[in-house]
Amino acid sequence: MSQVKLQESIVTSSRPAAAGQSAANASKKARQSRKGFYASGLYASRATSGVSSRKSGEEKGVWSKYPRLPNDQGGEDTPKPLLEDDKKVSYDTKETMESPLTEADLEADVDIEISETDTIWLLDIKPKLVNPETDGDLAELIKQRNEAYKALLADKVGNDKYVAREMNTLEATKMTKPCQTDEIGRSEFGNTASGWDMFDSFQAQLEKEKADRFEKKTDEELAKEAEQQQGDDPLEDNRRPLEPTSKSPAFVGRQSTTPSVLDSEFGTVRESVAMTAEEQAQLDAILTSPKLKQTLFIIERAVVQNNSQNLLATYRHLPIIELDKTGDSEAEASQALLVRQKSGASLSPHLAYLWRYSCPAVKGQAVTCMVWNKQNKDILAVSYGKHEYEPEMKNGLVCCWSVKNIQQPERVFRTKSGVTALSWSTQFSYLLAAGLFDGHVLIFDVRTGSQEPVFDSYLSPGRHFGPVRQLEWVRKEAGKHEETQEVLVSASSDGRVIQWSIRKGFEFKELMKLKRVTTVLPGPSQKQKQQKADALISRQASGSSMAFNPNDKNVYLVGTEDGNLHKCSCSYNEQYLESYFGHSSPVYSVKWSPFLTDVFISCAADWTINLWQADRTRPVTTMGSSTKSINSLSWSPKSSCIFACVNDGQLEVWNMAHSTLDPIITEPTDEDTGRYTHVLFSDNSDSLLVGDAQGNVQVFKLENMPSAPKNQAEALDRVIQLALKTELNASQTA
Amino acid sequence: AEVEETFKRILSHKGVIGAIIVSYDGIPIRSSFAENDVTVQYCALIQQLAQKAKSAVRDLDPGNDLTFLRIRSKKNEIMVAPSPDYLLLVVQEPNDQP
Repeated sequence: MSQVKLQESIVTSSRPAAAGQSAANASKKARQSRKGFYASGLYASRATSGVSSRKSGEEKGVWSKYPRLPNDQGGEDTPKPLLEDDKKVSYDTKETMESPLTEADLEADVDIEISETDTIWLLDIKPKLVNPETDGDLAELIKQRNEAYKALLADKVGNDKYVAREMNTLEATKMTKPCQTDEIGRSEFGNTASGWDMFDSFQAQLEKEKADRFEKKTDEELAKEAEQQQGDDPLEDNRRPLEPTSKSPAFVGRQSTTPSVLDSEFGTVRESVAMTAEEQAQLDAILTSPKLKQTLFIIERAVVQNNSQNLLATYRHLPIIELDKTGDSEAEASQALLVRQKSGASLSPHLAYLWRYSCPAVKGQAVTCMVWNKQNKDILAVSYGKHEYEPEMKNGLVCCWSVKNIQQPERVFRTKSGVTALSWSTQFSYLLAAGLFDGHVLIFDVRTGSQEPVFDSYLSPGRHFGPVRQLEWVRKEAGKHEETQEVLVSASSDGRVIQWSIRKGFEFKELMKLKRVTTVLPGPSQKQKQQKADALISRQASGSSMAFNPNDKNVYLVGTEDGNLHKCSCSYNEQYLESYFGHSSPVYSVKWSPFLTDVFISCAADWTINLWQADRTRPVTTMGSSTKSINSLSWSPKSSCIFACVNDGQLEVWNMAHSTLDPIITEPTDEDTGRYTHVLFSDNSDSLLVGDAQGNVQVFKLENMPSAPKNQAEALDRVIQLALKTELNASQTA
Repeated sequence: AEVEETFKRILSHKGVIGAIIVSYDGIPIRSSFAENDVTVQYCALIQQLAQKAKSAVRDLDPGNDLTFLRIRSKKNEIMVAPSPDYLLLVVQEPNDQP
């Protein structure tokens, strides 16, 4: 409000005018600035206020409430004020004193500064400023008129001369004019934003941000992240899609103007209508999508698990639930299990047959090796091939079976020749190394299931020339600059032990050349034997098995086809650390004890199993129960004195604490299973897996086994001491 | 393709009554049921149920999502695997025989 009631302000002297602070300030300013030229100031103010008071009188109160005059175009039509706005409003309230006006004051110029907030100018008549000096008459005239007006205002109220009267104006004739427009289309759209809808949209934003950051990352970080994200099941496609659950209202909640329920009901109608090519293509796309494959995979597992519920429950040590529905008369196996559980019939340890892994693809091939995945103990890799050379080389197979689907292998890899050795990597739990009969080493990535191995030794100059008999992944302490990396060590019949590294390509490093060592056997004919042994056909021994010491990764055992076992170190590639003599035929398997660090066991084609201690070159004890070559051996992960072995005719489980003369369980093979070729204990369940020459892997559950001794190492130690003592006694008496 | 092969294998398992692959529109792409109305009935009803289940799971925790739905009844079991593009359902008669 710039309209200053200077009149009143002057009258009321120091007190600020009631109407608005700006008015007060303006008046004060008027006073401040040169203390006003009283008379002329008065005139000036009167002049201004004369005009303005008329305005203010009528519309003073209205101004504050009057709206702006907006234009049609959105601009403002409020007439601009004439006087320049001084937006600043200074709030000096200090000066209230009014000094007496002197003649000099009257002569002085009066500056009037008016500051204004929003103002609507409705009427703007330029005030005429009259200087009483120059036009004295006019000033006088105006002054008189002002006085007259004041008197008029005072008289107005209650005066008969002035009557309030209404007036009628002509009403403008109205005319309605119709006009036509295009129909304004209307559509209703409803949508519910559920909590997860909002989450999805935020997530999409986050993903976008991540993608931008992703490009800036270095390779190392990516590799580290990849390693950390190893999922539980390498067979399930763990590459969780980073795409959000797109098509934002997901499949089962597609919102549109019509609810999806109607869509599905209309499904019948749509079927009969011929589908357009596009739609057909879309549907076909669904059929070939990898997601569908994945879903089918999972559902197949569920279906099979339904069928084999009891078996799996037994495997996992869960109680068997009886369903209301009684099965057919074929429910022998599960019924037998139930009966056994309930009655606890036999008290002696025995095996209960659970199921067998077998599929048409592997029929006829012998199982050569079985290994559990290091990370997910439910995944089993089985290799098929031949141990002996055959005129017609069949193709080999590696199958990955899972406990979750006992009917179908989840991965099948075909190789050019029989596979003789397998090993899962510990560092990358999805890498499976396979050693072939023709000496090659392949590494498969089971996540993708592609038939191409990620690494192979086809082009490597250091590859083996004989069948690879044993493979093992070893975590190595590398040099100062490198971190511990995992290397693959292979032992082969060509007498070499080679270390493969996968860091840059597939590099090899020869660890050992197995030399033939003369067998030192006690007996009177020792000297003669030694002389005979000098005439060798080749100085190379053929490795037939290998085992790394679980405690000291630099030390490993190699069994040769001569029957000798050698302890070697990765640091020396010429010399053996130690040689063990006890077998007279190829050592098919050697395994360190998981409980005692320097005890290991070996089995050979000479029908014997030998238990050794690392510092004794002669076996601690020799076990054997049949006249068949023993093909494979496995320690029980739960009990230090128990191990299992297979020979051509039967499966035997030995408990050394109980007896070293006879096995505690024997399970003969029958005709259709052929001879047993490999045995493996299960780590997470009391079960035993046996592979045979027909391509079956049977799963047995161990029942009524003696419980594990409290101190495993001690128990095994006791066995050894006992055996040593008896040997000592025997040699003393002899 | 591999999909067809796996589909046929699932159907060959013991106890499996039938399996259907439904597209996101509610059109059955592959169905092992001979009668069409059975197929369509399964599609419509199961789709609604899966939608409800998915909504429930996500309302409880928006970061979660429905991966698998199993409905076990007196006579059989319906296994549903929902997905943004399609829905796969298998009906099986559960029995505990290998």
